[in-house]
Amino acid sequence: MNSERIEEILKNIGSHDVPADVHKIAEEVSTDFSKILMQTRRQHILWEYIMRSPIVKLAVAAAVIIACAICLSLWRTTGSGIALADVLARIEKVKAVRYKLTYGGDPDPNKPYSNFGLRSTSLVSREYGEKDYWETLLPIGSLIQERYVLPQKKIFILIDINLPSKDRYPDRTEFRYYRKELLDTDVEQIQKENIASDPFTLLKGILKTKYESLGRSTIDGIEVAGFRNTDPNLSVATLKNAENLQTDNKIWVDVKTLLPVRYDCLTSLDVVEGRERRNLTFQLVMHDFQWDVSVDAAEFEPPPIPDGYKIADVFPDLANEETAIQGLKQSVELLGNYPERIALSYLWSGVEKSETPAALRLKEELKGLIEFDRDQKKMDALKPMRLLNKFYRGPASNHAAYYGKTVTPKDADKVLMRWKVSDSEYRVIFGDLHAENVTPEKLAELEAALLK
Amino acid sequence: MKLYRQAEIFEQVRAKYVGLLTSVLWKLTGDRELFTEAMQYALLGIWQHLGKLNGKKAHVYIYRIALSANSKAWRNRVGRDGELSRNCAGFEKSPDDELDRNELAMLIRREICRLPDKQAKAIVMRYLEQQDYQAIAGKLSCTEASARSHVSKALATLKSRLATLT
Repeated sequence: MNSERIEEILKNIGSHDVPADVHKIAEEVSTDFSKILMQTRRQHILWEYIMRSPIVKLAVAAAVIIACAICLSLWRTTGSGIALADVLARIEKVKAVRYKLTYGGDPDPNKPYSNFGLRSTSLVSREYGEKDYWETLLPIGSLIQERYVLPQKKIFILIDINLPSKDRYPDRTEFRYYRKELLDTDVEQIQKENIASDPFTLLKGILKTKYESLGRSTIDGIEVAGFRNTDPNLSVATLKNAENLQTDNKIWVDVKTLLPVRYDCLTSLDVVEGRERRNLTFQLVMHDFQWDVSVDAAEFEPPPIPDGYKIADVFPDLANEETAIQGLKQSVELLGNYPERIALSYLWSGVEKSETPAALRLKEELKGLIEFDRDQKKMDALKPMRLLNKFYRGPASNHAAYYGKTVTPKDADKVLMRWKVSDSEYRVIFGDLHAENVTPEKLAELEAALLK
Repeated sequence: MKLYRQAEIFEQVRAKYVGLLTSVLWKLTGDRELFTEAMQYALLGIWQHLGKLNGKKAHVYIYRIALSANSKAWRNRVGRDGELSRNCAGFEKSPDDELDRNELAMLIRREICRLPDKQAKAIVMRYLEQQDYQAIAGKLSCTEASARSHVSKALATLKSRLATLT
C-alpha cells in the first residue's frame, strides 16, 4: 500500500521550499569548506606561486631566512672577533647593492614543474627601489622575468623576457607585462606577508638571530668571519603549516669591510597535505655581493610595454580595506544598497534580481555570451564584491560584524562593518564608507545606537 | 590544471551551484545533519571533478555529485546507528499518518541513493526539482521518451524495493 504513495510523497518533497536555516547551513558549510581548502592548498599553491611570481619566490626565500630570526644579544663580540652589531651598522650606511641569488629544491615526483631552481641578479637602491632579473629553471626550459619594485613611485612591474616551451607549459603562452600601482595597503600587506627581498631587510633579520661563530675562513680570496644559526624555532608566515623544520644558516662577513660576502641557507621541512606528509629540502645562496655600487636613476626607469604583450594584474586577488570599500560601493551601484549579507551566493543572486541601471547594464553585457565566457565576465565584473567577501571572511574575520541589513549609505555615522585589530581597537567602516579605529567602548556605544 | 587556477574555478563553481546543491541535497536528505554531511561530500566532489564542471554537461555532473554525496551521507548514517532519523522535513504532516509518511519519505530518499545513475538523476529532476521532461532530456542528453522511461523505471524500482521493506 505504501508503494502506491511513493509518487505523492515524492511530489510533496519536491514542492516545498528549502527552509531559511538550511540555506544558512549550506552557506556556512560551503564557506568553511573553502577556508579548509585554502589552508590545505596553501602549500600546493606556494610552489606554483614560486613558479609564477618572483615576489613570492623571494617571499619564500625571505621567509626561510627570517625563519631563523630569534632573539640574540647583538652587542657581544663573537669568537671571530667581529661584532655583528658593527656589521649591521655598516650595512645601514650602504646606499645600493648588487647581488646574486640561487635557489634550488628537491623535485616532487607528483609535479612536473617541481624540479626547479632559481637564479637572480638584483640591484637594490635605498633611493630608487629594486630591480631584478629572474630566471626560473624548469625541466621544460627557463622562465625569465624582469622585475621593478619602485616604492617611491608606488609601482610594481614584472615583464616576461622568456617563456619555457609552449607545448609543455600550455597555460603561459603569451608574454605578459604586469604593472601595479601600489596602494599604501599593498605595501603594508606585502611587508606583513614577509615579501621583503632586499638584502638590507634580510640581513637585518639574520643579524638579530641567535648564532654561533664559525671562526675565520677564506672565500674567493677574501678573509671572512662566519656565523651560523640552526635554531628551528621560528614563526614563518609563508610556511606556517610546515612541520619538523630544520634549518642551517651560515653568513660570511668580510673582516675588513664588515660587509657580508655570502649567505647559505639549507632548510628541510615536512609539508602536510591532508593525510599526506612530504619532506622538502631547499637551499638558498646569496652571493657575489657588490656593496655600495653607484647607481643611475635611469636604471630604475620602467620600460614601456613591448608590442604584443598582454597586460596583466599581478595582485589579482588582494583583499584589503580599500578593496572592501570598493566592493561596498559596487554593491550600492548594482544592488541599490549595501548587501544585507556578505556571502557570494547572496551577492550573485542579488545582482541577478536587481534592476538598478548598473545591474541592467551588466546583465545586458552578459547576454549572448556562451556560459563559460559569461561566468568569466561576471567574475571579472563583480571582482570588487568578490574581494569584499574575501576580505570579510579573511583579513577582517576577527570579531567581525556587518550591518548591511539596516545601515544605508545615508547613515554616515552608523557602523556598517567592523573587525578587531587589537585588544584595544576595532576598525570600523561607517555607512558613508569612511573608516576609523575606535575603542571597544566606543564601538559598544555605536552598536547600541544601531538598536535604537 | 594548475592549483591556483583550480581554486579560482572551484570558487566560481561553488558560487554558481550552491543554490542547486542546497535544494537537491535538502530534498534528498530532509534532515539537517544528513544535509550538512552530504553538502560536505558534494563540495569535495566538486573539488575532485572540477575538470568536468566547465563544459556543457556541468549541470548533470552536479546532479551526479549530489546523488553520490547523498549516498555517502546515508551510508554513514545507517552505518553509524542503524536507524533512520525521524527529524524529517519537506512535506505537510497530518496527525494520524505523520510517522508513516515521515518514515516512508526517508525510506524513499534512502532508496533513491541506490538507484542506477540515470534513474536517480531523472527522478530527482522530475519530482524533487519539478522539471519537465524536455528539460530532463536536455540535461541527460537523451530523448524525452528516454527521460520518461528513466523516471518510470525509477518509480518501479522504488515501488518494488519499498514493497519488500514496508
